Amino acid sequence: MIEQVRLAEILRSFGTMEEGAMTRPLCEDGVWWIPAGGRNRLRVPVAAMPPEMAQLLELYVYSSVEQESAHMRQEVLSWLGGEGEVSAERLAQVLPQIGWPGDAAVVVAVELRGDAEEELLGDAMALLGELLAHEEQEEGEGQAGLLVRSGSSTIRLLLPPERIEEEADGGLRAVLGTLEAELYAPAVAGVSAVKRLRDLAPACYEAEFALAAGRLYRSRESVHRYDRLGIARLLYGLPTEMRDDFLAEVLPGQVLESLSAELRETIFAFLEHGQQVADTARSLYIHRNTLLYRLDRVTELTGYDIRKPIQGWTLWVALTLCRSL
Amino acid sequence: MARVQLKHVYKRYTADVATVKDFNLDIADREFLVLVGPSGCGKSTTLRMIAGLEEITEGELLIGDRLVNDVHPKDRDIAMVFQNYALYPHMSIYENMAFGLKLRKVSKAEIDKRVRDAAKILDIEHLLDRKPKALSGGQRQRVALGRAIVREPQVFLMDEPLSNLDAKLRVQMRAEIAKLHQRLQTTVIYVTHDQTEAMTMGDRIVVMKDGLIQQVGTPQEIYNHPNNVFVASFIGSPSMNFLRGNLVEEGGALFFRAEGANVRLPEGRYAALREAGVVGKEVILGIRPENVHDEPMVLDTFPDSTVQADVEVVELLGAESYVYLNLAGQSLVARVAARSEIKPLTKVSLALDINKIHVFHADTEQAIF
Ligand SMILES: Nc1ncnc2c1ncn2[C@@H]1O[C@H](COP(=O)(O)OP(=O)(O)OP(=O)(O)O)[C@@H](O)[C@H]1O
Ligand SMILES: [Mg+2]
Repeated sequence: MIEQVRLAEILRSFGTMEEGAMTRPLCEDGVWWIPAGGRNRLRVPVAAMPPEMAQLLELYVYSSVEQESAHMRQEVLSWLGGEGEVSAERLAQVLPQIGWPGDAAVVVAVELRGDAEEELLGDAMALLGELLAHEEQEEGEGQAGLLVRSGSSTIRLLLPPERIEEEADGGLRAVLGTLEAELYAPAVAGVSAVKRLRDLAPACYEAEFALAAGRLYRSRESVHRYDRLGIARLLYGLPTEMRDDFLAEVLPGQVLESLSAELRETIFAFLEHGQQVADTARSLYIHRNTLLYRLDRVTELTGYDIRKPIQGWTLWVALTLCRSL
Repeated sequence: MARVQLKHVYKRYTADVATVKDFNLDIADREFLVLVGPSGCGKSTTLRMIAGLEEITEGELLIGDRLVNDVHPKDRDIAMVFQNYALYPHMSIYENMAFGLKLRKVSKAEIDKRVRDAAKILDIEHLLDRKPKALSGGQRQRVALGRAIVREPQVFLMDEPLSNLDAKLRVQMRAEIAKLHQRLQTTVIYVTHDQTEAMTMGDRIVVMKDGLIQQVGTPQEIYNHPNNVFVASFIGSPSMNFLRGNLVEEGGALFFRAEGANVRLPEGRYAALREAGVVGKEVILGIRPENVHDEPMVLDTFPDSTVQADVEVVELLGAESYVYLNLAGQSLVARVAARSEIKPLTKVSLALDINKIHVFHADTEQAIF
């Protein structure tokens, strides 16, 4: 491709130099403006050029813009796929140029659970592409969203927020439900939403964080938003060393092994039923005395009296961390 | 053959908690089976295990006499319809139904035949060229059903497919799905938390709670002979009334006594009550609101089985009224004719139809009858 400054040199004799910086050739009201280096630009009225020259110029600019836009799209895709580094400023600059609607965006990481084969991933890409396409969008028109594979079982999407926020997270849950029903593939998603494109750079990381934290600590949900992780954020964000030290403190030696599955279930049930004896006993189908006996047994084995809130939740955190080891 | 059998099936998402416990069920070919129970009881988990979307921790699952624990979901010959589904916005309805088959490399001619057949069954042939945007909620739901039908599965698995629809549409679609079942002649396993939906749709109902089957039976069996207090209270609207009191023997007869209630129990039940060892003990008496009467004629028929209660609220609902009563601290609802003279803030005598009474153990809450 010819450098833009060269373009100004070639066309120099048809126009006049003026002051004013610009980044790309532009045609307005029958006048071409060509960047000429530094703070200068060349003003060339279309009528001042031979008609063939004007046509060639138009053709050249059109195809170079197209190439550049394809290039920019690729840049965003490789960033989204976790392959390229792109600065926050660059993202914010590039996206509007490839037709991004508005200033907000959402990154979604969709993970197919189980052993995702190549073929399945391809089908999932096709399906997600179709589901998230804009209703009015004709082929080749604007950019409703981008999607790219990342790793062996994850697909990342960059979407305008309205595509998934129509019914809070319902929109995305419906997408996952469709994936499950059509491809027989269970799927979960991590989501990070930003209000301004210039905050987008960390969104891939946040979506993956939400996915990983959610999978471990909010496993009953299928959509995990980075800004709604609750306690899962702390549990997952805990440095390994600190987690291990905490576990060594709360459940030293063989204490964990000494707690039977039945006792662990009792601990979770008791805490999840607001430390209410009657409710917990009913939920476990045991007599209240059996429950009281088990609570004493937990204290004996662990030293923690889970009838006391702080002690109870300390044990809850320790056992929840253990579940994910 | 699309018989589905679950044998001692367990699900543990984590090593220490069983979400579904010892689930045993034999679903007949072409049966419409409904799993019903409160939120979190394990309905979806059970359905997803049958689908193969969740692993079975323990136990066996057979579909059409084939052990499928380790068979990939797509090879189980099932199709799923969920509450949450999305249509492909810029595909026509035809393409929406065809897309899944296209991905599975089904031939064009075969796809065409299946889509048109499904559209005919669902009565959406005239919509095939439209885009989803132009469809109503009920029509979209049909398209979602259509996507499952074109797979021609042996078993349909439906998880609350109607719960995103408004009440009126839901009632209409219930009937549609029931009709669909008749036409397709396949097995359907249907999950709902709505007992009315369960009662009106199922050949048989499985009532679940806390991961355990509470009772399996036809809607009539479950309504008339609930196994325990939970099933009795969950099935039926408004819910069955429960009164705590003592079972006392007097002059050879057995009475249920509580403050404000003196109910002579039918002789035919004495043997069962004695065998259960509850004579002289606390029991729970259950009676459905429609079996609590205020008509003088019924009061005359059952003079030994009456309750005296304070009327708190009378709710008029067209042809009938719900009367909310307080019986020395225990609450009781009666469903009476709208022409009833009962007035709020009065004290009334009501008769219980003793042939419709249930008695439960006070501690285990299991039914004696
Ligand atoms: N993937 C999962 N990991 C851990 N626990 C889960 C998971 N899925 C469900 N659970 C838990 O298992 C229990 C049963 O959940 P399930 O979704 O089967 O209930 P449900 O009967 O379908 O309830 P609802 O009517 O709310 O849909 C719940 O306590 C739920 O939180
Ligand atoms: Mg469910």
